[in-house]
Amino acid sequence: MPFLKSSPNASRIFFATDIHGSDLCWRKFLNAAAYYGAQTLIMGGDMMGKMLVPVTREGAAWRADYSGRTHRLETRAELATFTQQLADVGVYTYECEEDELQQFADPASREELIRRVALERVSGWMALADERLAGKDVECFAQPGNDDLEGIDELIESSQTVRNSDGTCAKLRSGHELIATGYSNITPWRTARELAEEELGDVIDGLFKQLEQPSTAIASLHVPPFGSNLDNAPRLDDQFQVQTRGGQADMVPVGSTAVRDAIAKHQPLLALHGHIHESPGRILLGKTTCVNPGSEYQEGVLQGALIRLGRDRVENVQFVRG
Amino acid sequence: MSAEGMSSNVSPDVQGLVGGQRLFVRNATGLVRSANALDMAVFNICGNMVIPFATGLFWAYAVFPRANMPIAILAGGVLCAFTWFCWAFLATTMPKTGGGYIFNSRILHPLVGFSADWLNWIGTVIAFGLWTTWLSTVALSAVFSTWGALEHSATVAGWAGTVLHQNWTFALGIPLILAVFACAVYSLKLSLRLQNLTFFISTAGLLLACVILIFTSQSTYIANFNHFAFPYTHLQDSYHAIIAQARHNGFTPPSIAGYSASDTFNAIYMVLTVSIWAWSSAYLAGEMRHAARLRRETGVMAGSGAVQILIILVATALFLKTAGSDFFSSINYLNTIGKNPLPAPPYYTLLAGVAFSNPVIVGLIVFSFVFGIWCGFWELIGAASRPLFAYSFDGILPRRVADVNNRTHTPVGALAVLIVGAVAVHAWASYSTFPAGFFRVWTYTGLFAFVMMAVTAISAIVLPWRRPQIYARSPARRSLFGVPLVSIFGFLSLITCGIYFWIIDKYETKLVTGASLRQLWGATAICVLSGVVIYFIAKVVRARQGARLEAAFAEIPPD
Repeated sequence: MPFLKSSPNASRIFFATDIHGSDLCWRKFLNAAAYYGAQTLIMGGDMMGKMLVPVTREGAAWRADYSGRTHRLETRAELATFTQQLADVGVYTYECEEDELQQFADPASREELIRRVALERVSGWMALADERLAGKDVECFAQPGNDDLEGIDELIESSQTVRNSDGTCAKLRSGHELIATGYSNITPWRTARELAEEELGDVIDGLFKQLEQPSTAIASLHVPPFGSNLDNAPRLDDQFQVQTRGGQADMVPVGSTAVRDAIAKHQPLLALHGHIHESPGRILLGKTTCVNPGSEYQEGVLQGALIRLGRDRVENVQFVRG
Repeated sequence: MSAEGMSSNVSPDVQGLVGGQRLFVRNATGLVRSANALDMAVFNICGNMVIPFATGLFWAYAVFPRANMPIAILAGGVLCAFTWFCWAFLATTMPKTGGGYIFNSRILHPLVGFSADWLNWIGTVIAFGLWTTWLSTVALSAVFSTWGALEHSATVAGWAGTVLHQNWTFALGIPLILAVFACAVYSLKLSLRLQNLTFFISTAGLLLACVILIFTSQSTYIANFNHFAFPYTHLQDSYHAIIAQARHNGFTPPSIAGYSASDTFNAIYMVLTVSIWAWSSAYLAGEMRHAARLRRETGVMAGSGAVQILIILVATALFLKTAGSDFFSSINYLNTIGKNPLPAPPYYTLLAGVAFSNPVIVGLIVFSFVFGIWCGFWELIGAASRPLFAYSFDGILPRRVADVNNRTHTPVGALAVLIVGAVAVHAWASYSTFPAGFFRVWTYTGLFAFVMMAVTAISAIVLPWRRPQIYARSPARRSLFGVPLVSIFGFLSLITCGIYFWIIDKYETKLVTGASLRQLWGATAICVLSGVVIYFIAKVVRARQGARLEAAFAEIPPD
């Protein structure tokens, strides 16, 4: 019975994506190799968070507004606990005086503040990776996603143990080749790394040209293929409000046609995707197994895919909620 | 993430300070506002508005004739509200995930979460049998009997009895099953359009009946009913003859027996089974967590539930005013003991239809009811297919169960499983002796769901202690005298479930389930056990494939 068999020589990959600043998810990601017995860790992009809570001085205490409540933190220990709780779900904190908040009246200054704090967190993550993965028999790859701002590439590349897979062709110890791009097609939010479909297609084609054997390669393409059911997101109006049909969120495909065409044309062994948190799943596009593990970073839950990979076939994909 | 017809014009509460709070948000994908609250409210009640009211509450009046039904409806509404709040607090704590399976898997244990949800899933599939047989037993029989009476056509009136024959009930349900499933396979959007259309038509029919009942006197109703019933009873005053026949068979009408506190309390059973489902929108959620979300969740669930309770209350009061409580309970009593002299069960369709002598209005009321069958049946298919995805995603069921067809974008595998279940359950419901068979289906469905809700209530009670980190981050972290509100609502919801179990336990015979308590709880145990067996089979299969099933649920130690 083939569905009951697994090859003893298969390699095991753990893939997660879209952790959006969640400190807890990153710490779990680094431990995933040991926990699941994986030889390779791949982070599929969108590592930076989206929200920041200012923490201001109020006399001897601190004040922060979060979850619709004003938190008054009396001691440094309380502040540290609060900060870590928010960090675990991807929210940044910024300690400042009350009158300093005036500096962030315009969106550009808030964006820059979040970028700066987010990069500090990524820098800390790389240091933690070096501490935990050094000397271990684990290879770790990470790539930025469309939501990751300028400066993150350099931080990943500064790590001794994490390799930036974006725009490159890397060879895994198992012999499989890995190509990656964090660019997405155009979104309504006009984020940091977006390209028109045609340009995105050129970027991906360029990556495939670097491969020696596309049929056994892994393509980590942040945005999923259009119309694949890995790319269903709620339809929104111009106020970004979820639209419904029949009382349920009206889900529409928002993936990339360029990614779909590239997979159809080059047929890699495995395609790894993220970007659309609410469409986890696994599908076959021709001979290519496409996987989107989804994301629940805001609960501190690391959704991932544990993939057993034979030389030229995907033996098993198991979705996990770490 | 992008969407159709979008501009890059980001709204202030998405990009900047959220809800006036000091929370900075940058321009990033996925930051959206939740679905319209009205849409979510409609989702909560659209499958449970017309049909369950049309059958369940009428039946409750016959089983507990001395019940003060308006008070039972209000008390039942309060008990339901405990469960709505419990689910709202859990959905706010775990946004995006939603649903009993995830709550219970995360908070208690995966095996507990799966077994309880599996039981509820079986109950949902069993409920298919209610809707597929209602097409004949409630909808078409009422259509033909009222139509035949108004047109003075014995042939048409005779069809009412014909469709109640088991073979006909089974045969007529099959095209309904095939048609609804065909639409579900062909296109989700078409199915949702039809859901909306049929919901509004059937609700409009109910509201039309209510409006007309306001202006119909009891004497007019009696005259119209006697005219309708004559071909079947051959009596000039069928109305009073039916009350007398019920008395002759041991029934004491409310005007003589008076109201009873215990009957009123027990009638809550039916209110619970009809109205508790307003937590369905727990499955619809957004990404941002803030206090507004808690207010919104509780508002949507409690609001939609309250509206449903209000409509049922008004409709019941109008029926009592117009038809009279003695007649109302007597005819339903005769039906439950198998001595109904009319060609169709005396539910809303029939009793509302005969109130009017205008064929157009009668046609609108009874035919609109048929549309409600489609709406409710489709809702159940949706409710039964979602868990299959979750089980398959976690590796408990084979991956093919959750396969989505590339051309139609519909879950063909899951629907194939469900259509087999639908036909099997329809056959069981059709060939069981009516009405015992029908109410056996009703009881199993409710019991299985309430067991799952009881487990979810326990999850809510223990959440702050079992998962302190999740609770600490929750916007639903509210307390009363130091006790977490989520635990309080969990406890109250558990009491609601307990009342439901107690009524079943005490009134096994009265509820005409056709099944003994031993059978009911035995079936529950067997279904739970089947969930445990499936879980362990999946565990063995995944192990042979080199994967650990527990890995799907286990939290990776972060440090």
